[in-house]
Amino acid sequence: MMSLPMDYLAAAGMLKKCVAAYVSFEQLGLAPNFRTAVQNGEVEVWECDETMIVAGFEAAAKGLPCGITRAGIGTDLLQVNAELKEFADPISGEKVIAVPPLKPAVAFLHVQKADAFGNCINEGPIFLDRLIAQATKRSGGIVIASTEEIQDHAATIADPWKVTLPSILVDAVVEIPWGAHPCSSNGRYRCDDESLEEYFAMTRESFETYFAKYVEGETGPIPYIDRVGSSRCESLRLQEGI
Amino acid sequence: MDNTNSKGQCSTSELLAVLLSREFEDGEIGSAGVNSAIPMAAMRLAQLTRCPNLGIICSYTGFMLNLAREGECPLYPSSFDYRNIYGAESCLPGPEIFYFQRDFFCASGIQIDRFGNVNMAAIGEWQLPKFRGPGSAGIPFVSATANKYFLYFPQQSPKIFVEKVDFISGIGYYQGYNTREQFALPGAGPKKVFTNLGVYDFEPATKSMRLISIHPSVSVQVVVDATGFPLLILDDLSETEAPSDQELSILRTKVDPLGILRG
Repeated sequence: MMSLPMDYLAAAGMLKKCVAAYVSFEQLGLAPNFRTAVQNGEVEVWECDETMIVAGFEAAAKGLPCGITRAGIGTDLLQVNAELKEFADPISGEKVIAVPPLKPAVAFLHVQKADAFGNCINEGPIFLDRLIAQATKRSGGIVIASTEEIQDHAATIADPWKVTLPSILVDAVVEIPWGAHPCSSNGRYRCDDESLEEYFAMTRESFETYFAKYVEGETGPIPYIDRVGSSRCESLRLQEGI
Repeated sequence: MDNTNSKGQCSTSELLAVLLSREFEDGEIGSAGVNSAIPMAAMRLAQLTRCPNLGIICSYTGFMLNLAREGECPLYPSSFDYRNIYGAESCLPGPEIFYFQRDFFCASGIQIDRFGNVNMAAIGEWQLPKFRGPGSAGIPFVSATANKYFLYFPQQSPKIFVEKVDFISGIGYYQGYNTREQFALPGAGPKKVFTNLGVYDFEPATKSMRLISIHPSVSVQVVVDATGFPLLILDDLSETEAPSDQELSILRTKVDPLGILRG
């Protein structure tokens, strides 16, 4: 789990508040820019447990005033996150924690296939993506899906069981092959560790250098993936059965 | 830190994987969280040795593995790497991984105290920390609900083994004795702690951390110096049983052929 989006935003000085249970780059190390921004007091952290994220999205998706979890009892989460409320369940009397609904204004989700109407297919683990889409739509937000490829609507109809995000949950589809790079895309390509390490090294010195190389710069508007290079991308493509 | 054990036979990560694997029992369902190559290897090693029916829930990706039956899946550095699915029997959808009662869980942290409370969030004042950690992840959940859990720290030091954690992400035995009981949590708390120096449990009355075995060629003084609180020491302290040739052989050839734990 690579917390790139959070670290990008922190590096660009565009992150005000972080609602996440974990922000790091696993075996590669802690998120360098996020960590610095929090230590400098530039980012507000909504400290939580993973089940609180789930409970908050479930509450939003169902239109309920709160979700509940047992996680957090006995910890310091409640000392630093005033939106989490411990209460005694009125049925059993057990101590549980109420979590407010989490209502995204915009959700960005990446899938492997989508049709022109927004029916999307996750070819692998869906994580919380459908729950996030439900929470976002129910809260009046917008769901934008980026996809590795577009498929015909006829293909969707031929096997509707495969659709993981129905079109009623999706506002817009953007075709972006290699759109998850430098992270992985289920069944398509693996994580680009070398590229992530470059991100670490470059942004530790200066985010502008990285930004100029991969996003903007004197060369004008060149798509990100062309800057990465197709041969490099192809080297990440998964062989069948691996 | 030296990356080999005293006999130079294996890396610290391999040693920890072997020691953890001996704790699991056949038929249990266990899991490990993010960044968990060591416990993932431990669970697979257990499946291939003593626990063919061990159920593994692999991180948030929700894979249920049973590799002992058939299939091969090399260990990857990330427990979120979706390639972990190859060799698995099924894949659990998103939030449902939290429905399963875990018999055990394995975790680490940026600090641990004498009563087994674990910090993953921040060192110093939480509001303006000296060091921001990765966040509490699922530790609040599993420390409250797993029947038992194991903690591991590849580099024990007094900065990590502290008198009192700066932030409780995972609830251990709280302030010792029976103070955990006030929270009426379904889980029983941390069972053992494994480090590069030794193995610890929590003394039954005080619930204070206790050294129960020491790794070959490590002295008690080294352990005490690497601990930032008064450490209890078991009267008949034993030497940790080093990984056997069989354990290491299976670990290296079947569990971790890519050498992630030797990296």
